[in-house]
Amino acid sequence: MSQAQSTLDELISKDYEHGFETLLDMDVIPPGLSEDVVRVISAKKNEPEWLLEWRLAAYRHWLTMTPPEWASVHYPPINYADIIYYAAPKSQKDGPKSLDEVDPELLKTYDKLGIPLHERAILAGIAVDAVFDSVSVATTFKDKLAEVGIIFCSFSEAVHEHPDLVRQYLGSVVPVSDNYFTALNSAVFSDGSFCYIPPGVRCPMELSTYFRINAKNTGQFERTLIVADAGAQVSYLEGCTAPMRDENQLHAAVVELVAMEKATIKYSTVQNWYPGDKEGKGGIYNFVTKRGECRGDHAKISWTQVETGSAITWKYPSVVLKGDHSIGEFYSVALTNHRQQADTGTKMIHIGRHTRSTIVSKGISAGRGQQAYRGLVRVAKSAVGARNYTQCDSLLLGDQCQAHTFPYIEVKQPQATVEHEASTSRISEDQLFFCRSRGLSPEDAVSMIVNGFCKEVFKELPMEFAVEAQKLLGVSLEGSVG
Amino acid sequence: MSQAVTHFQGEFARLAGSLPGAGHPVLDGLRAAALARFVREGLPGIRQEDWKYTSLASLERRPLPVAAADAPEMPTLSAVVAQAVLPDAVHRLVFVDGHFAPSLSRHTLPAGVRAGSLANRLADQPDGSLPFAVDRLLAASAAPAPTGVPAAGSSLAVLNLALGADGFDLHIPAGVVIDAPILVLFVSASAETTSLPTSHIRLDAGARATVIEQHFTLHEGASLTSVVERITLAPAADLHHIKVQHANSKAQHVADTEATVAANAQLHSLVLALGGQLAREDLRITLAESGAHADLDGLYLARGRMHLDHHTTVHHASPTCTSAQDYRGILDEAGRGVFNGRVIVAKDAQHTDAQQHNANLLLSENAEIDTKPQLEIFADDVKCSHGATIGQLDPAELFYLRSRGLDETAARSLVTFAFAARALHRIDSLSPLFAALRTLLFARLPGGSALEDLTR
Amino acid sequence: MLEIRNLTAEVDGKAILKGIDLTVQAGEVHAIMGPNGSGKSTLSSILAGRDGYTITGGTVTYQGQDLLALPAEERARSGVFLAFQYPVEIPGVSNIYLLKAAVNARRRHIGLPELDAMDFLSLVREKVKFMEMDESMLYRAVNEGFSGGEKKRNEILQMIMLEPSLALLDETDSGLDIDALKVVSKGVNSLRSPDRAMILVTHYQRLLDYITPDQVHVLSAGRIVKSGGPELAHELERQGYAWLGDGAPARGTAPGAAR
Repeated sequence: MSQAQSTLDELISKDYEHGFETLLDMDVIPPGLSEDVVRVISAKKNEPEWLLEWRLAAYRHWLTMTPPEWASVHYPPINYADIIYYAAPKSQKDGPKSLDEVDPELLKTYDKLGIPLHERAILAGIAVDAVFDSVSVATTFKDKLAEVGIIFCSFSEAVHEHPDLVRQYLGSVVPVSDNYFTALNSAVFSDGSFCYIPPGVRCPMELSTYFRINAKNTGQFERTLIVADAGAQVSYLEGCTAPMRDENQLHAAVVELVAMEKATIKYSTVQNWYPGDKEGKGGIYNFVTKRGECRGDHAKISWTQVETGSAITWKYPSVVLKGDHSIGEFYSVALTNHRQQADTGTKMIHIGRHTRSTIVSKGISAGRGQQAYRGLVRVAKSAVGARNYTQCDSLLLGDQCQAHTFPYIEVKQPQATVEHEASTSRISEDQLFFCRSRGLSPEDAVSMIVNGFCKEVFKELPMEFAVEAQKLLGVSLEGSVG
Repeated sequence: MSQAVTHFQGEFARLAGSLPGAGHPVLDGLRAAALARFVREGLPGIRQEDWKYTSLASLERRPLPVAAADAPEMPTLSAVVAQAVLPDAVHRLVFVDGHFAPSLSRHTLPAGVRAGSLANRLADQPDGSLPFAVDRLLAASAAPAPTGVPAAGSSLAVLNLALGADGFDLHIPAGVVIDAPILVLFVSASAETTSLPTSHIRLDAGARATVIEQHFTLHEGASLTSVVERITLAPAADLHHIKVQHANSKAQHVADTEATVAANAQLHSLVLALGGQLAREDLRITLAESGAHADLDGLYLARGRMHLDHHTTVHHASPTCTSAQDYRGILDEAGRGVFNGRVIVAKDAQHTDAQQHNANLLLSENAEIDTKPQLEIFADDVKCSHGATIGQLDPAELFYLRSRGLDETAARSLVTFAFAARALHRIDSLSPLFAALRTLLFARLPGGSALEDLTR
Repeated sequence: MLEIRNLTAEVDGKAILKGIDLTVQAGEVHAIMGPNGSGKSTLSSILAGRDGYTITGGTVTYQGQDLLALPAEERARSGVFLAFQYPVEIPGVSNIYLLKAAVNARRRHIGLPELDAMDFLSLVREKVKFMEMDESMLYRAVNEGFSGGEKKRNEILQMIMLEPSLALLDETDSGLDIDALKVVSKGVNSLRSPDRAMILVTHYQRLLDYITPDQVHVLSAGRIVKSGGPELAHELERQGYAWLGDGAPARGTAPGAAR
């Protein structure tokens, strides 16, 4: 084995650090899915009739659908009857009123994950909504945000406190019937985060949701809805972990973003669900639909993702550019190691005039990992002067890995400019030798090269997340952030 | 049952007994199996990933009878030669409605070179199967080929096996070098017919040749030409393969071309799609042994309501092979272009160098391009890149020309022509072939006639 | 021939030219020198009619007409020629096409008959030989794959063929070895005549050893801060652009040069 290879193996073979389990008294419904289960979930959350009907319609539609087969991922058929669709820590009936009421075991769990829920001890300037299995267990800094008119709370709370807003926007970006997993999510989603930034308000701190799957055999189906009204600005972070288990667990989330005129939403994800073991046993199936809509002129939605976890990742954070001069961005680093599979990318749908989009995708395949970039850039006839620039690069770190690129480009507008570039390469012995001949250790040399490869994406992450991202890639990021 | 299936079943019943080599059990069996696949699947449909952007609905609605061997109006030699890109070609083989026309053909190829009609060979040697492997084609289905596996040919291509009577057959023995281009003209002479030429080109070790294949119509009506072509290059063989398609604006042209390139052999392919109401080119190249090389250049020029679709696959099956691909499209009026380029690098194909580029110019509000440059990589020590661009004329080039006194219109035509002419970069720009192709381009480009004067 | 009065211009909202005054008479050769970023190339681009510049004030009169009102091609046909600093590559279009199209566009404009193929060919062959170029390059695509020196020779070849009234040479000496510089200078000098004006835009004095200017102007931060005879170029060569900081006129603070 070459030196490069052994160094790489060391770097990419780090164990999963978040694989512990929290023992809690849980409220769990039996596995299986039926109209009754949908009704139970809705009843547990004390939901209004319209939402139950919405769920039931979604469920009935889901029954007519089949799972997508076009992605370059392989897994045995999922038995949806074996999944538990609702699991929540037992606590006061209406959930904790304040952090003092949150189960101390839970607080410990989040401390262990590095996500402080005590506001006093908090990372400066980040408000966190913590979602544990099916429910939101705590949301920090709510009051402070409320002072400037920002609503940031769990989805369940929003259904009760702000029903009109929820009803207006829910499913308006990602229709229930968009795909198999959105229909499923719409039927059984249990919680998630809701955020509304009123006109002209620039959110004074980073907002964040931390998703944790804990319970066994449960599916996590959360729903996030973020609305930035005219001129509003918000930066949103999302993190995820799960315990190590031998069974695969399904995570089918839906995230909807709405940016009105001149609004900006920046959505960053560091996804570190349990990837399964080296032989591919266990791990999360991360089948997520994320989409944003720039509804007003000069609106901007930016997705940044660092995807290192999950046995299978299937997600395409997208932007529908309706407003004139609106901007969509997608920056992605995805790492697949051992037997991980990722089919990820984005869709940029240009409808408004002079809309612009940028796609930067960096895929790193190691071990037997397989990875596909799948993207769509569509320029409608109406999108005069639209521009897209796409760059997707793959770095190959193992001789049994795979890297695929499937970009779809559809253009119906002669005043549009679309550029797509892609490359695939490996770290060469020459590069390593060059670095070492300048005094770097092989580990540092690989780190440096991998970091250089991901730099364009890391610089889009908020500082705190960039640090986490570096850690996740198992490399030090000296000098390439900020 | 679909109309096309019923139609071609009827054609099979009508023609099977008269196909060359008919009665021979192996051939008969293959033909029956081929028809069976077509009956099973019908024509490819837009639900199939490979046909997502190209609909054969008009073919389904109005399938045309398979053309007979003796065209009712056999074209004159002068009518055929008038269209030829090399009117003086010493090696000229003419196929009319898919059938070899000896009276219009001539060649002075050396002894040992076989160049002519596939029908003769099938009739003379019915003891063997068809001169190329057909197993994959017969076994294929409508399901998309999995990632990493080249497609095997559509249910349309399988019709050639079932009903195709003739085609171009070329075999150049080892070490033989043919300097003068071999011009092969496929003429659609009878409107309202289907032609199903099936061609086979084989170059043995070290052989070299240039084959120019030209497809055009001598009528103004509808017709379908569906070509199946198989190219086999033995080690160190070198083939320049130039295909020019300029059918009329009602005609349809579909081609399924597969090439296998052995060690250190080279295939230089150029495809110019300049005509047809609908034209679909599938070109699949397997670089089978180390050191094999393929370069693929293409140009599609869609005007009116033309729909031009190019699907390419370069399969790097062995280490140290190289490929370079440059396809460019000009979409004017309500023209529509489709490009789907796959580069597959197999697990052990280390030291692969594969490049692919697709550039498109949209000149009108109603033009459209759908492009999908794909990479499927299973090896780690590779250098692969691909790119696609869609855009307008380069303002720097336009300004340069205007600063030399050319008006905006002339500058635009010239830069548009330049964009197209890049596809011809492997052809000597002083050769008669280049001049002939340039003339074909000028006739189809905006402002081209004004440019024509400049070249005099 | 050319009169520039208080010309101001910006790019993307940033002022590049801050009031240029320059008069060039027929028969004169002017050199415009200046450090990088002083606006030299902007000035020649604006005179040739390149898009992307916003003229915010001032006038440019060429042979009695408002030059700025003309599109690029009209300027070229009226005899304004820009030799590009970075000549554009146009694959697929051979040099000889371009020369023929350009020469005939100019001839039509000034009421001369177009050259027939034979006359054109013998003329262009003669000029190619004069520029010590290989005739084969006529049939190569415009500037494609040309070395830096070949591109510059090709620019001068076009200039000689077009016989402009006002030639603007933008950094024509950059990227040239000494032999190419001599050939290019020979080409430029061959065009010097009482009814033709030239403006050489250059960073270095080197070119001026071969083409002696009548006047030298120093451009700095968008203004002409000093004008003089050929000796000014030598002074710049000795002292660099830094000394201009003190010599700048009171109204021109020239921050770029003062550093």
